[in-house]
Amino acid sequence: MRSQFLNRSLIVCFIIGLGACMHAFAQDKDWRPVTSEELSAKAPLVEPGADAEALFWDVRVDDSSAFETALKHYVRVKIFTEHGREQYSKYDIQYSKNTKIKDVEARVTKPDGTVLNLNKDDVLEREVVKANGLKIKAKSFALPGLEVGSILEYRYKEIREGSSANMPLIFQREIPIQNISFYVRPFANGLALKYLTYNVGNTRFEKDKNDFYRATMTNVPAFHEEPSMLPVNEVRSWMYIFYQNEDAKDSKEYWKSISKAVYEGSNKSLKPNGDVESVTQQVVAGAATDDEKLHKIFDYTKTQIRNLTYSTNVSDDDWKRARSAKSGGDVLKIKMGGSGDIDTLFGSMARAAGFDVRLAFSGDRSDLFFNPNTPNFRLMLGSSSIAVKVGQDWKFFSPAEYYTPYGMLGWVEEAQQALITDPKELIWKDIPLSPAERSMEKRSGKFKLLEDGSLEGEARIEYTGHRAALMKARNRGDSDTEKEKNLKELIKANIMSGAEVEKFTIENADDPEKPFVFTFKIRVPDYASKTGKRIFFQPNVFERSSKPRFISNSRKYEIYINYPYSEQDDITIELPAGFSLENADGPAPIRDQQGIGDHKTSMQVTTDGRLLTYKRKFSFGNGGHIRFPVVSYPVIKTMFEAFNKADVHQLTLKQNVPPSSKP
Amino acid sequence: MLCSVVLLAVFVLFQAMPVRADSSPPQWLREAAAQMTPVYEIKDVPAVVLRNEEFIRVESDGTVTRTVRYAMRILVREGREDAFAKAVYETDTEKVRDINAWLIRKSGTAKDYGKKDTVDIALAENDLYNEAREKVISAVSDAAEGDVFGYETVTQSRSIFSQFEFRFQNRLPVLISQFELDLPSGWRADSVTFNKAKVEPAVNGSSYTWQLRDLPPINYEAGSPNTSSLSPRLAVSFFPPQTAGAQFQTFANWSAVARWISEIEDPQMTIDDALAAKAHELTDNAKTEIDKIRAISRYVQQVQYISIQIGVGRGGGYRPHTSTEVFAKSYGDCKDKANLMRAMLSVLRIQSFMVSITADDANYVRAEWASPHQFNHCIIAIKVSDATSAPSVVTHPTLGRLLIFDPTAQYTPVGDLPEDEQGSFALIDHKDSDSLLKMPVLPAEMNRLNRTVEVTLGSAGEIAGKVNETTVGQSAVGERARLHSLSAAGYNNMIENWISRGATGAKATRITPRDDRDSGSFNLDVEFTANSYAQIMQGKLMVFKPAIIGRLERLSFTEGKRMHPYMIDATFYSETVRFKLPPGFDVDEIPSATKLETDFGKYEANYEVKGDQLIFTRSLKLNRSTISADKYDTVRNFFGRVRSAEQSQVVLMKK
Repeated sequence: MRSQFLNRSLIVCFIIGLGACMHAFAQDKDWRPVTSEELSAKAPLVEPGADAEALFWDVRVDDSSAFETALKHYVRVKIFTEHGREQYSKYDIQYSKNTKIKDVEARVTKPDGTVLNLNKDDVLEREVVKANGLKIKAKSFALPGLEVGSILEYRYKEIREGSSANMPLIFQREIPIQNISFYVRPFANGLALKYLTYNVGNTRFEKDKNDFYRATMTNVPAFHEEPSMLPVNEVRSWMYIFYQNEDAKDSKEYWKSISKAVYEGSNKSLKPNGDVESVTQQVVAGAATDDEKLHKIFDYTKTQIRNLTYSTNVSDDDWKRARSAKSGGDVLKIKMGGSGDIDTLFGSMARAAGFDVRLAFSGDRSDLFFNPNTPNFRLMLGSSSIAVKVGQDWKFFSPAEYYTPYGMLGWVEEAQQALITDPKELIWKDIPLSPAERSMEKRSGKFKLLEDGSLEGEARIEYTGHRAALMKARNRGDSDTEKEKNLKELIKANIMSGAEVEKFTIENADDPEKPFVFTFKIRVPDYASKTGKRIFFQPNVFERSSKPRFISNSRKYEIYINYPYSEQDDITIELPAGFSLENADGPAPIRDQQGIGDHKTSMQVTTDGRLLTYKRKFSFGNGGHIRFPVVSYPVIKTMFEAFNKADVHQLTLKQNVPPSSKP
Repeated sequence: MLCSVVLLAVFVLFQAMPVRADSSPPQWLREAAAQMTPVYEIKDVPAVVLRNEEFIRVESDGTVTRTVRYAMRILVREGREDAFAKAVYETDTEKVRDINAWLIRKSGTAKDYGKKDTVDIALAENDLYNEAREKVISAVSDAAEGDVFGYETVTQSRSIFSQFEFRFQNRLPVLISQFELDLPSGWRADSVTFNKAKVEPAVNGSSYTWQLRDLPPINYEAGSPNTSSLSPRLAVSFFPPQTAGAQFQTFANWSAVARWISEIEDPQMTIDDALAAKAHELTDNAKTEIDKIRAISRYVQQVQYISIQIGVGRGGGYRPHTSTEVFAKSYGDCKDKANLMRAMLSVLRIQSFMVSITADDANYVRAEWASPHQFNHCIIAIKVSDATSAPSVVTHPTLGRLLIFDPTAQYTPVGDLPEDEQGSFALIDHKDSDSLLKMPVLPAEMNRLNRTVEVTLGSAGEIAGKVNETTVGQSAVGERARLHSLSAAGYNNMIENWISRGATGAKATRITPRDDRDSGSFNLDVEFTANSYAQIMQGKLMVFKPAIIGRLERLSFTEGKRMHPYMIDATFYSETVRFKLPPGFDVDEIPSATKLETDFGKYEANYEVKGDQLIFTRSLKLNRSTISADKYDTVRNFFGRVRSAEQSQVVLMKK
C-alpha cells in the first residue's frame, strides 16, 4: 500500500558523455547586465510574499582536470522586504582543507541604478576551527548599501583539490529561484558521468558550450519544512551526479554484481570459528524451534557483547580493539564491538546454529527511500541487517540496534526493500512494517478528583516497540536526575504545567528488550474547572493539555508518519462526594473507512456514582498506511482534530441538592 | 540568595582518590583531587570545582602573563559537560602559550591532553570578523562520574588595559577559588567585590591574593536574577607609579573612563556632504525636535547590524567606524549605529552623546568599579528641549534632559528602551561625565496590551470572531519583531497557530497587522472561525471558556524550596470579550468574579450577561519587582489563581 502515493520522483540514469577538451574554464569577466525589469520588479514572481528571490543561480562544475574539481558560483538575488535584506546582507563561505575559495566578488545595484562594488579588503578571512590536522576557514563579506529593492550579486570560485564530481546538485533552496542552472564538464577517463534526478520534473542535462552540459530548472519555490513530512531528500528538487564504468549494464546487473561482491566480502567474517560454534551450542541449548534459537542468539549478542555505539565511557583503546575485529569470532573473543560487529557475530552464531545467513542491505527511511532502479550503492543502501532463512522465508535481524526488540528492525529500515547478498542470484525481499500495536504507549492511572477541582493519584506510562526505542534513545546517557527532569517536563506538558509530580520511578531505561516504563504520583491543582454548582473535568487525564497533531490549514508536501503507532489508556477517577455526574456521555468511536485511524473510548460509573472508569484505544497507520498525498491533508487534519476533541471531552459533575426538610 | 544554601559538613559522596605515582598530572592537580566532596543541600549537583585559580603576572614592560589552574570532580553524568579546558585570546594582542589538561579517573589511572587534542575556534560566530578566539580541550566524551578533570593554561598579552575581572564561581560549587596578582615593585592594586562582602587580599609586597573557600552551588531557577548578580565576583585595577607603566590605561574614577572613551569615539563622528544631505532629506517634513529624532532613528535602525571587531586588546572594541564609512556601507555594529545617528543629529544641530551600557543584564554594571570592561553595548543620549516629552527622557546633572535611545534595538522606537536596559547603570561618554546614570524604568502602562474580541457562538458550539489587539512599548516590540522577522506566510501561520491554541482547529480568515512606529503602537486585527469551540453535553448544556486566546495556562514555577529572588517585569494587559450567545440557550452559570491584588500585581476577571451577550473582562498589571525567595509562595499563589480563573467555564442551558 505504501506505493499507492509514490508519485514524487522520476528517477533516471543517463550518461552525460565523454570526450572533454581542455578548453579554458569560461566565465564572464564582467557582471551580466542588470535589466530594467529586474530593477523595477516590486514583487516576487515565483512565490508570492517571498522576502527575496534569486533571479538566477548558476554553478559551473568543471571536473575536466585530473587533479581538482572547480566550481564557479554566480548568484543574483532581488530583495523585496526588510526581512529579506537582513537575511541576505552577509555571506560566510566556509571551506576546509584541500579546498580553496578564490575571486570572491559581490556588488549591489540599488533601486536607482547606483552600483556599489564590494571592496577586496572587505572580504574577510578567518579560521573558524583549527585542530589536529583539521582546519575550517571562512571568507565572509557584508554587502554594502543593501536596501529593499536592491539587487545583490556575488560570485566566487571553489577549487576542490584531489576531488571528483560525485556530488549532489541542489536545485531547491531556502530562497525561491527564477532560474537555476548547473553546468557540468566531466572528466574524460573512461568513466561515464551519470546522474539521478529527484523531483526536478523534466529537467535533464543538455549539451552546452565548451564541453559543458547544462541542467536548468525555472521557477523553483523555496523549500519549507512541514511537520510529519517525508525526508528532505525525498521532497526537494535535486540531482546526484556520479561516475560509473562505461560498460556498466542495467540496474539489475549492477545490483547483482554488488550482491555478489558483498556476499564474497562478508562470507569470511560471518563464517563461525570453533569458539563461535562452541558458544552457539551452549546458547541455543534447550531451544526447541528455529525462532527460539534465533531469539537466544539475539539476546546473547545484545547482552553479553558490549555494544560500544550505545555504551558510555568508551575509551580510545576500546575502539581500537573493536576495529581490529575482522570476524564474528574476533568479536566474540574481545566481547565488544561497534554496531556492525554485533550484527556480524549474530550472523556468525546463526550460521553455527545451522541457518543460511546473509548480509542484507536496505535504504534508510529517514534519508532516502530505496529504489532498485537506482544503481548507486552509496546513495541507496544506507542500512544493513542480517538476513536469516527460516523455513522458506527470509527474516531480518539487527541486534546492533540495541533498543529495538527481537522481531523488529529500526523504523528507518522497515517497509524497505532489502538486498539479500548472494553469489549468484539477485534476491530482493521486503522488510515488513511493524503493526501499530507493536509500538504502543500504554498509560494507566488511579486518580481522585477533589471538590476544589484538584486531582491527585498515581500513574504508570509504558512504551513498547519503536516508541520504547525512541524514549530509550532520548534518555540514553542521562543521569537518573536528568531523566526524571525531562520526563517530568513531558508529563507537565501533556497534563498541566502546574502539576506537581513526585515519587518518580523509571524502569528498563537501558534494557534492550523490556518496555520503557515510568511511574509517578501526581497532584494537579485546578485540574477541573468549577462554577457555582458544577465541576467540569476531563476524564482522560493524560490528554488534559493535548492539541491536534496538525495545526496549519495549508499543506505543501505529502504527510508521512515514521511508523504505525498505538495508545491505550486505562484510568479510574474517584469522584468527590456530594456531586453526581450530570452527563456521562462519551465521544463516539472515530474510524475511517480503511481503519487507518481508530479511536475508541468507553466509560463506566459504579452504581454509587463515585468511581469512573475510562478506557481509550487509539491507533494510527493501520494496514501500513503511513504516507498520504497532500490532497488528503484536510481529511487527515480533520481526523486528528476529531481524535483530539474526543480526548479532551469533558464530563460534568453537579452538586447534589440536599433533601428538602419537611414543612 | 546564596546564604540560604546550607553547606552540610558531611563528606561522603566521593572519597578522596589515590593517584598512581607514575601518572603525569601535576602535583597541584593531584592535591586538588585528594580533596573530598561535601554533600550539598541541592540535589544532584553535576560537579564540584576543586580548584579555580587565576594567577596574573604584570611585567613593567607591559607583558601580562595569565596562568589558569582549574580542577573539578564530576559528580553526576551531566557534570561531564563541564570537562573542558579553555583559553580565550585576542589574536591581535594575546597568545596562548600553553594549554594542557588531565583526566584522573576514579580508578586512579590518568589521561593527558595536549596540543594534539586542542581545538582552536573563532568566538562570536555571528560577527563578520572578530579577533576573539578560544583554544579548547574537551574531555567530555572520556569523563565519567567520580573522575577529576583539570587543566592549566598560560596566556600572554600586551593589552593596554590595567583591569581584571574574576568570577570566584559560576553555578558549580567551589572548594577553593583564588585570584593572584603579581605586580612590579612599587605598583599597587585596588579591588571591589560584587555580590558578597568585600574580599580583602593577602598582600605581600606588590603581590595580592584574594581567596574564597567552600562556595555552595547556585542552582538555576526560572525568573531568578542572572548569575552575574548571584555569584561572587572580583574586580581588580592596578596602578603603576607615575614614572612607569605608561603603556597601561588606568582609570581612577568614572570621569577618567568617560574621558578615555569619548576621546576614542569623538573623532569617529565624521560628516560629509552625502551624510548631511541624507540627514536633511530624512527630516524634510519633520516639524518638531522629536519628529526629527524619529526620522533619523528610523533610518539608523534599518542600517544592517554587522559586527567587525578588530584591535580589541588595544581599545578597538570601543572605537566605532567613522560615521561616513558606516553611512556609505549601510552596515555596522552598535557603536557604529550610535555614532552614525550622532553625526546625523549633529547636522541638524541636535547635540547627542554616545552611551556605554551592558545589554541583556540590567544589573551587571556596578558604580563601585570605574571600568570600561563593564560595558558591552553602546546606545545614544540625545539632548532634548523641554518641548520634547517621552518616557525615556532622563535628566543628567550637568548635561540636562537626555532622551535615551538604542539604535541597535531594531523594533524599539524613540521614547522606549529595551527591557534589559531599563534600570541599568550607563555611562554618558562625555568628558564632563563623572558618574554613572541610571537608565529610565518605564511604567507598566508603557508596556501594555489591550485586546477586544467579538465572538458569535453558534448553537452547535462553533464560533466566528474578530480580535483587535493593540500593543505598546516592549509588548509591541515582540509583535513587531515577529511581523518583520517572519515571511508573510510564516507570520500568518504563526497567528493562526496562536488562535488555534485556544480554539482548536481555528481558521484565520483575515489577518491585518499595522505597525505605527511614531506612536510606538502595534495593531493586529484577526478574523477567525472554529468549528467546535463549545462542548455540547447531553444535547442540552453548552460549556465554553470565555478566555479564548492568550490564557496563562503555560506558566511554570520552580518546585521545592526557592533559593533566589523572582524577577517580574512591568507589564499590563486588558481584554474584553463579547460573546453573542446562540438563540435558544439561556445562561445557566457564569464563573464568579476574581479580584487579586498584591504588591507586585493586580488581576481582575468579571463576567456579565447583557441581553444576548456575555461580556468577559480581565486585566493584569504587573509592577517591576524583585520578590525575595521567602515570599515566592505569594507569586506562585497569585499566578496559580490567575490560571485557575482563566480555566473557568460558562454554562448555557437549552431553553
